[in-house]
Amino acid sequence: MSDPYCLPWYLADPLESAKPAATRPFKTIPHERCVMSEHHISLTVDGETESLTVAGRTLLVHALRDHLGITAPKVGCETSKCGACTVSLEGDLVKSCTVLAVQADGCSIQTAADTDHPLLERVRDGLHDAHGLQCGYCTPGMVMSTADLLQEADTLDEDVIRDALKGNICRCTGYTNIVSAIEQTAVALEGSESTATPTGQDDGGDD
Amino acid sequence: MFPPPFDYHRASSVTEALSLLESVPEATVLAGGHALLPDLKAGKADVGAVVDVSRVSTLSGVDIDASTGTVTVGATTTYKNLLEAAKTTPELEAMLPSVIAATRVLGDRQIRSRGTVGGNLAAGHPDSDLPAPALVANATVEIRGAEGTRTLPVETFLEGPFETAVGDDELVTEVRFEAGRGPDSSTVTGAYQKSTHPTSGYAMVGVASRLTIDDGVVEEIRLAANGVAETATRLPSVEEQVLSIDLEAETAEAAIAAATDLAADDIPEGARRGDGHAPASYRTAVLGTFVERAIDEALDATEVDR
Repeated sequence: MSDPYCLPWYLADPLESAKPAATRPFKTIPHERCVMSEHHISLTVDGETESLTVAGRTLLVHALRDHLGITAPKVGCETSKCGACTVSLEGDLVKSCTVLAVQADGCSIQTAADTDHPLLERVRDGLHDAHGLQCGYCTPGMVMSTADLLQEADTLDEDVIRDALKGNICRCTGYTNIVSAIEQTAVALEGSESTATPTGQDDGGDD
Repeated sequence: MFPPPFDYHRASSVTEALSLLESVPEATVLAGGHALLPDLKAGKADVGAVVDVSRVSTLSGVDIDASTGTVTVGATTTYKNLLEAAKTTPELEAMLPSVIAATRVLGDRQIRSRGTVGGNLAAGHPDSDLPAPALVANATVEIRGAEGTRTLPVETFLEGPFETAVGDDELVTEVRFEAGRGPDSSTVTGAYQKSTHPTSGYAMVGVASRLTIDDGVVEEIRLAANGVAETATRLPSVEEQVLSIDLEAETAEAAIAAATDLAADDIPEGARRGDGHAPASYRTAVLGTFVERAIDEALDATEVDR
C-alpha cells in the first residue's frame, strides 16, 4: 500500500515513529564558575505584602507554597502544562511554576484562596454547586482561569469555555461538570450586577 | 523538578542587558521564560545566569503604521498584549490575519500571558506557531549587539531547529511584519490552520496563508508551514500553482486541491520533522490538507463568489 492514507498514521512505520525529533542542543555549564544569587523580594499575595529571600532559580509556586505557606496554587506536572499552579500576576493569568519568584518582585498576586474578591467567591461557589470537581487538585487553577475568563470574555459558550480551560488539566471529571459550572456561574452573574460581562446570547439551547 | 542553580540579573534598559550579557559568564536572555524555564526544569537546558529583559519597557509595544503597512512589535510584547492590540485596533487583524490567528491558538491562556513574540522567534522552535505567519508576513527581526544593530529577514534569522542568527551576547529587540498590499481594488486575506500536538500544545502541522485577490484572481500568494520541517518553511510549489487561479471559475476548487497535493514536495526528504505522536510521514501526508484549509479559510473571509 503506497498511499499513506490507507493505514492509520501510527501504523505507517513503527520504526520511524520511534525516532526522536530534534531538540534544543544541550550546553553543559561549568557551575563552579557561576554564582547562585540570593534576592530579597516582596510579594503582595491576596492583599498582604510579604518580604522574603529567594534564590535566583526559585519558582514563584515554591516561593508561595514553601516560603509563604500559601498552598492554594498546587504543584502538579512541573512541566508547565497542567495549570494547577495558576495564579493571577498583576492581572495576568500565569502558571506560577513557569515564573521565577524574583521576576515577580514587587508585584501583586492573586490566588484562588483570596477571600476578599466577590468574583472568585462566585466561581468557587459555582464549582461547588455544580459538582465541578472531584479530587480538587486542579480546582485552584480552574478557579483562577474561570475568573479570568469571566472578566475578559465578550461572549461565552461551551467552545469558548473549553478553549479557555486548555491550560488546565483535570484527570477526574472529564471537564463536563466544570464546563457546566462555569456556564451556570456566568448565567448567575449575568442575572446579578457584576464585573463580568458574559452575554450568554445562545438562547437556542443550553449546549 | 527544580531548575539548576543560576544567577539572576534584571536589566532595566537594552544597553544594560547587552553589557550584562557580555560581562556575566554563561548568561542567557530571559523574557517570558516559556521556552527556557520548562527546559531548565526538565534538565533539557542549563544556564549559568539569566538576564531578565521582561521589564525593559522600551522592548514592549505594538506600533501600527497603516500608511506603510508595517506593524512593529517589540520583542517582549506578550501574545496577550498583541491580542489586546488587535482588539483595540481592528486594522491590525486585517493587516496581519495569519499572525493574529496563530497567536490566538498559541499554547493556552496562561502561556499567552507570559510568552513573547521576540522570544518565540529567538527560541527557534520548529513546531512553534509564529514562524510560519512571520514568513508569510515577510517579517524582519532586529538584533542589537555591542557592534550595533542589524536587521535580518526571518528566513535568514531562523537557521535551523533551535538555532537562530542571534548571538550569545545579542538581543532581539523588535519584529517588523508587513501587511500584504495590492492595488486599491484588491483584497488581502489570510489564515492560520493548525493541528495541535496533544501533549505539548505546539503545532504538529501549522500552515499560514496570505492571498491578494483582485477581481476574483489570485494575484499574490504566500504560504508557509510549521512543524513539518526542521525550520518553518515556505511552500513555493503550491504558491506557484495557486497563483493566477481565477477563483470564480468552476475549475478553481479542483485546481487548488491539485496544487495543495504538491505541498509535500516542498519539504526536502532529509529535513522532515516528526516524533512519536506524529512521525514525519504523517505530518507530510496531512500537510496538503492543512494548506487547503488555510487557503479556504482565507478565501471564506473575502467576498469572492466561489
